[in-house]
Amino acid sequence: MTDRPLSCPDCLDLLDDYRRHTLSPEKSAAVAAHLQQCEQCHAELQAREALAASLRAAFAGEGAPKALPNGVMAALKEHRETNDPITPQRPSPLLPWMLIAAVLLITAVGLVQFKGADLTRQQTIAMQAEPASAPAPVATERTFARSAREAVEVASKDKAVVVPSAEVPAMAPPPAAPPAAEAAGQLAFRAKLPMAAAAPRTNFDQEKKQSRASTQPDQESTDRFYTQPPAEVATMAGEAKAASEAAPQIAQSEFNAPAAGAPAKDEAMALKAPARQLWSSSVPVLSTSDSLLTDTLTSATATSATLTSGTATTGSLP
Amino acid sequence: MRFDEIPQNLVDHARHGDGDALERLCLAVQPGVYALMLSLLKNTEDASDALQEVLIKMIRFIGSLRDSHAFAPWLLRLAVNHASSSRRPGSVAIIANSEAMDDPDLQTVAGAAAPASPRRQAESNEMLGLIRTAVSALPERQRTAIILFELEDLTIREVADAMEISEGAVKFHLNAGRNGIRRQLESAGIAGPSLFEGSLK
Repeated sequence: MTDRPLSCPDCLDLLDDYRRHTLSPEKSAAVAAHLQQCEQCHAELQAREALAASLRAAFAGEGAPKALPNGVMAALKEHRETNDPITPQRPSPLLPWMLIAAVLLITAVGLVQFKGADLTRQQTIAMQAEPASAPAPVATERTFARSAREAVEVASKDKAVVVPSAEVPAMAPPPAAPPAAEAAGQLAFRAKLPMAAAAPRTNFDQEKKQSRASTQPDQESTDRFYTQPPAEVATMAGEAKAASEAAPQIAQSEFNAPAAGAPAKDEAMALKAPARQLWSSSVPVLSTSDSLLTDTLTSATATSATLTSGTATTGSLP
Repeated sequence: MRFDEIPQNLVDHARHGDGDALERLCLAVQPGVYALMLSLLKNTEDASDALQEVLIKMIRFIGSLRDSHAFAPWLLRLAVNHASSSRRPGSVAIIANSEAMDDPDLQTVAGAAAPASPRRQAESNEMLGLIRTAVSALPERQRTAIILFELEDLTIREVADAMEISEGAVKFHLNAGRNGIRRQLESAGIAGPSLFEGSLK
């Protein structure tokens, strides 16, 4: 650029930028070199500078009013009234502490959630590793109830002391039982209540329907049923036992039905008799070692029967 | 004070709604705006009205300014646009040739810029009056370009931004304005001082 000299039109085109020093160093040097060689362009530069000085002289000295016009003052007042909230406010000195508190709170919540999730995972792993150690609550109740019944049955087989059923204080409060026995009784009682409307009841009804279907058309078969040998009756009683274990809270009227072996005209009551027989033979059985547990179970059974009947209990089991 | 010499922090505070800063900013830009309005609108009454309007617009819209560095060209555009829209057709130049000679203020100004000799002072006063008349007679864009570039000392780029035209158009209006002033002086019987000889080729 500096090697090739500028033409006069190019120099005049760049002359105002040259005056304002906005040209690149190369272009500025080229213009300066041309001005040194070209008188006309140099005269033009002087003429523009002289015109600028004359314009400044011509328009200078027209002093502006020192005070702001009234309209401007009114606009400023209006601006202060409406836009003062826009004024940037100094941040509160508590802002850093608030930020720190917020970070700590978020961290604490995160740690609690993480530990909770970790604990849940550990419990899940423990349950998967030892399913019997921590079963589901319902399973626990059922297990306790089953254990209580099995304990009663074992006691009745091994060292049973037959006590007349009338001597069992059905509604009498159990003695101060050890916590384990009390818990077992409560769990046994709680386990029986939801079973009233559950599958065992349905099985019992189905069994009753099947029995009715098989006996109703033929009166002889019904008679034969009640005249079966004791072994067959025991077999049927075993079937009924399961039903009675499933639904021990049969209505009070059902418990007052005639005993097994007695002639019964009501077929349904006759079908329930074996179960009642088994029930009455297992509940009064007490042993010295399991007396507390059995008392609890008996009390729970009586309470269940009372709840089912909705009336005051008679105070004794048949 | 050039508009771009206004302290940036003052513009920042005013831009964010600080009323006190805004008032100081108005006081800082008022002389420049008034001079510009006076050179563009030719009479003091219009210049005073224009000054008030431009400052009110500045107060109302400075909050929309995103960058403080854009304040100077923004204010120039505000002033130029207002002068362009409020210029009265056929308005008389503030100083006719005869008035220029009788105006004590202008005589003082001319005297300050001219040699002390009474003859030279008279010639200078006459010349300054003729220059004002010549500028006032220019077309609007040429006059605006001349005033912004020569009086406000803006660069070509800044004038282009203020007038919202290209830099080439600014150069065109500048050259046309200078030639117009030259012709006005020639028609007034002034052969022209030597400072205009370069433009009279």
